[in-house]
Amino acid sequence: MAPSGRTPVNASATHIFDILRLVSKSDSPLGVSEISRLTGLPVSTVHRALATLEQSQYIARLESAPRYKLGPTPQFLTRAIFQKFALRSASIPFLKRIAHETGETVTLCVRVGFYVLRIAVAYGRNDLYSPGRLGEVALLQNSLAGRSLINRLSSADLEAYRSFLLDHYPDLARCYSDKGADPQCPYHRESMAEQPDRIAVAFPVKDHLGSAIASIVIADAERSKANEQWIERCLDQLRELEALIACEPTKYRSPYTHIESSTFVLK
Amino acid sequence: MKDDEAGLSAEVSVRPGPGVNKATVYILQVLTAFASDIPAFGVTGLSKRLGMTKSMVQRALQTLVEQGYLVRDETGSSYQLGLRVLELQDPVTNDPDLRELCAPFLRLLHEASDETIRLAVRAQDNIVIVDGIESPGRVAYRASLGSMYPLHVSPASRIILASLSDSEIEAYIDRNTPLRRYTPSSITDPDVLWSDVRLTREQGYAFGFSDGNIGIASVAFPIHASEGDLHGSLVVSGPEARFRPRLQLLLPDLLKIMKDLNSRTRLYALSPPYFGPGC
Repeated sequence: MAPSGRTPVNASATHIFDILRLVSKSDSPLGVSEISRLTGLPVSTVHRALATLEQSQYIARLESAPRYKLGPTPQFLTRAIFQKFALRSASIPFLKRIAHETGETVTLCVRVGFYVLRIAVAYGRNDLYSPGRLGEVALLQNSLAGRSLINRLSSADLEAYRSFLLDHYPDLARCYSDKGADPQCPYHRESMAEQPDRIAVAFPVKDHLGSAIASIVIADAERSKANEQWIERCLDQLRELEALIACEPTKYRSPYTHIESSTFVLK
Repeated sequence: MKDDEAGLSAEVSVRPGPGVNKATVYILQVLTAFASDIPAFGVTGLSKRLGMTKSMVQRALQTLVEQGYLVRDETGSSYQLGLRVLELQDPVTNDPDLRELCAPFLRLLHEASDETIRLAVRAQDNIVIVDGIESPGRVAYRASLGSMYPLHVSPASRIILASLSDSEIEAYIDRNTPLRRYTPSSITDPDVLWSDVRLTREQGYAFGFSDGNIGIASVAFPIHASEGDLHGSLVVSGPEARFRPRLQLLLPDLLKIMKDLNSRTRLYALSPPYFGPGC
């Protein structure tokens, strides 16, 4: 069902996208009869839709079996979204410097609506740990980057976020609160329950108005190494980046600023 | 970059096959047009780029906006990718590597030229050939996968050399003086090398005639990454007698294919590890 609620102009197009979404959510490649069963569409319709999707490389057929998975095109589209954020290119040299100085892998997550999207990474030499994929989207409270931003939301935004949770994630609405956190602290630290000698740190990136638009994340670092000096070095880079952003605020604004946050719901 | 560029190369404009709903094909084509480093498109730009009428484009746009895969941009007059695209990711598929990204374009270059195509990446002071398609005609040489050429020899190398900073080029020359000769036409004079670098930077491609391999004419092109550096280079080569006369005529077609390739490869940063001197 199209999000706008209006009757779609083109029914076949709706089928195409339903099938595409099904394939992308599936844990394993899907065959035609599975797709037919799950969508309620006749097998012949599914065949035609798959042929169209395959032609433009939205899906790909496995070499070994008549089953389908996502093709390369959706990835290119995701990548193209990253490129729209001027902050991505601008932050990469800073991420690299932080990665170099701390030895850890550093990522940049930008705020999109009530979610964060990971759009850049700089690898550290200590890294044996995967920081999570570029393109990963998570609800604010379900990610370290997002949690570092929740404390810095304006009260209006926070209200809107709570409504959003009630509407779309009713079982989560009461999960997150960080009452002990000092909103003035320029970084957000979390321990890892399973690994007491490791910590995770996120540094909110603020625009010229002081709104947090993104977060620089070190998802996994040695607790003993992450002392004041280490934090200071990261903060130095952060401040330089923020100074850069402040010089050209329009350029570094999110390309989705004009989209109402509550309209973007990821399922 | 303006969005009203003339039509895309064949890989991206897919003609609907039999038994396939045309309107649906057009919808996917319009969406795919946004898989580039161009931030937004208007109806006119899309119509020109894809060879569709404005009403076809408008119908496709309507469906894509309904679905949430496109939204209007800030100005209101153009369209950009919608955030709903982010749903179309699966946790299993990895980022394509350079060979996968370039593969369809290697085929297009091959079809356009009927000659041998090679994909090369930098490995410190050399390039190494990592993929290619061989000419169906008689081949005078074989640049097998894994062959290496120093950065001053062969146009594929010099494309990469020209993309480095002046001080890096100076450092290369210092490290490799005297510049080694591979063929009678090899560039060994640093001054000649510098003017080749300047010319390459200006025109955005490099010719080579018997300088990497004797009897071979080539033209090489850069493959751009997202941060202003290069992923590597692509080179089209053939026997001088057969290929050299055709080069100028073919060049516009080849450049167009490379332009489409680059709008895709510019979406990706050079992946680690990066083989540069001192790394």
